[in-house]
Amino acid sequence: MTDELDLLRGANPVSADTGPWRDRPLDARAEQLLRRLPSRDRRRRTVQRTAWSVATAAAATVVALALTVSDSGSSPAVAAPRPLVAHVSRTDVPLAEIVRRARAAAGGSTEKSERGSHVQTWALAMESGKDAVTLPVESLTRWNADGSGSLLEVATDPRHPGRPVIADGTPPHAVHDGEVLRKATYPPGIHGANQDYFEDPPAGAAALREYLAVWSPGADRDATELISAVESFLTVWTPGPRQRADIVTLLSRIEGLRPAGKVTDRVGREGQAFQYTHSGSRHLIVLDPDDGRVLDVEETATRDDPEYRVKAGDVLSYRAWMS
Amino acid sequence: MSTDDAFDAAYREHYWAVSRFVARRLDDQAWEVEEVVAEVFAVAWRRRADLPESPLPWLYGVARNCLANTVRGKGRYRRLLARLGHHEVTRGGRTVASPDAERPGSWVLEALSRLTETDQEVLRLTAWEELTVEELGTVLGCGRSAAAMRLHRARRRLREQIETLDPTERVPLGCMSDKAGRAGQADKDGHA
Repeated sequence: MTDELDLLRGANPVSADTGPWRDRPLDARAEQLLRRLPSRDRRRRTVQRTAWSVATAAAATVVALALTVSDSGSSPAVAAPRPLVAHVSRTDVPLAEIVRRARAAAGGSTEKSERGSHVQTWALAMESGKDAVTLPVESLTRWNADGSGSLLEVATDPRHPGRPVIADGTPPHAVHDGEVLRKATYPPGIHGANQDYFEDPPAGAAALREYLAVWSPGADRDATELISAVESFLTVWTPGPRQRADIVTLLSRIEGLRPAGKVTDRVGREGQAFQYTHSGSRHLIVLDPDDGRVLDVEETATRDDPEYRVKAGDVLSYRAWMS
Repeated sequence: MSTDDAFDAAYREHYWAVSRFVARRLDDQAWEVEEVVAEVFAVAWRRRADLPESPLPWLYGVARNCLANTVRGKGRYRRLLARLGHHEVTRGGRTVASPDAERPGSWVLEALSRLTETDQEVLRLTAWEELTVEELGTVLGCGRSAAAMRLHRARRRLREQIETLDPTERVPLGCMSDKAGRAGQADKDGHA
């Protein structure tokens, strides 16, 4: 009689005794890889850093477009965004109080999370030796339970930083001088706009964290990964009051998340900011103090990186959720 | 032994084990496996100062992160999950009807795929990578008792799924021990 682990062992798809991955001395390819590791390391680092700003989010396509827009030459000169400035004041709202308010707002609400998001995104293109300041991109996605939906991406107007360039109507359309980068309608299925976090998010902070970790491994144990996962999630879903409360609850449990003060964000909204510093960068999370809604997440460098012309204090990326 | 020498020794000893770890999670696509394994050891090389005395669980931990990073940015994580069965199964995209299915053990994989990704990984690490509970904790980044609890729950859920798929299969309660992953021999037929 066998137990479940024995059954599973019997279903092992890759054997140590046979097949291409069986135990044996290193083959020529593996030997070569070992010899090349130190030099390979330096090369890969560059590649990884280049990809970094693209790969951190589910909306990677949005960012990738942002990386190319700057080359179009048709837009006015673009300046790197300045970091948000937080001011400590007597009226600062503690995170615990924001959580309480969010929970209170969620208590009597039946409003559900909506598929889709409306967000302004910017990321520094970290290509070695290049000044890669790009235009922020505003995107509005809507999708249905079957995966069908639409996506509109518009380059923001550099003469009016932060000014929204998409009107959320039916259908949504570009306004002001926004240049439409992409407009797409998706049939049912899994596409760029909902590639991650397709399933409905669960209720409860612990369950939500586990859900986030399915697409962002590490979100269940690492603060930076959790923040990144929340950012990604918010590019796919617009949370309702309950999910907002769960998100702010998760954020409030991050050890090392410190109050930074009040912030007026790039869209002109006032929020309560909290910062988390780790491994050369600082995440500034701006919350609506009334209901815990995540308004912005900004990442700045905390030390110089000459290879990428990054100085301490430079903004590496930001997102501002418009809805 | 210098740090570099220790890394070389770990590489030579565990290269194929790490390759199998990756292959099991990429459905054995050779070029992808090689690409990810190269990344695993490049990352491990950068972090070689952290190489523990027993490096294999640590290397598996690095491999888990590399797999996630590799596939996440390129939108491949979902496809990875689909290959592992979770999403296809939840959407009715794949059916492995019974223990009579063609591939040996496929119905066990079907039962596995019905679990959460977290449960699946705990079970894969135990049954396929043959980790002890202690080592499981190293890979998952949690303590021994938490790892033991996760394994205990995952085994229970797998047992329930097996019985759901094949009501005639009554899986005996497995004894959990430090050597849970190394006890017993694989049953090539997949069930008793």
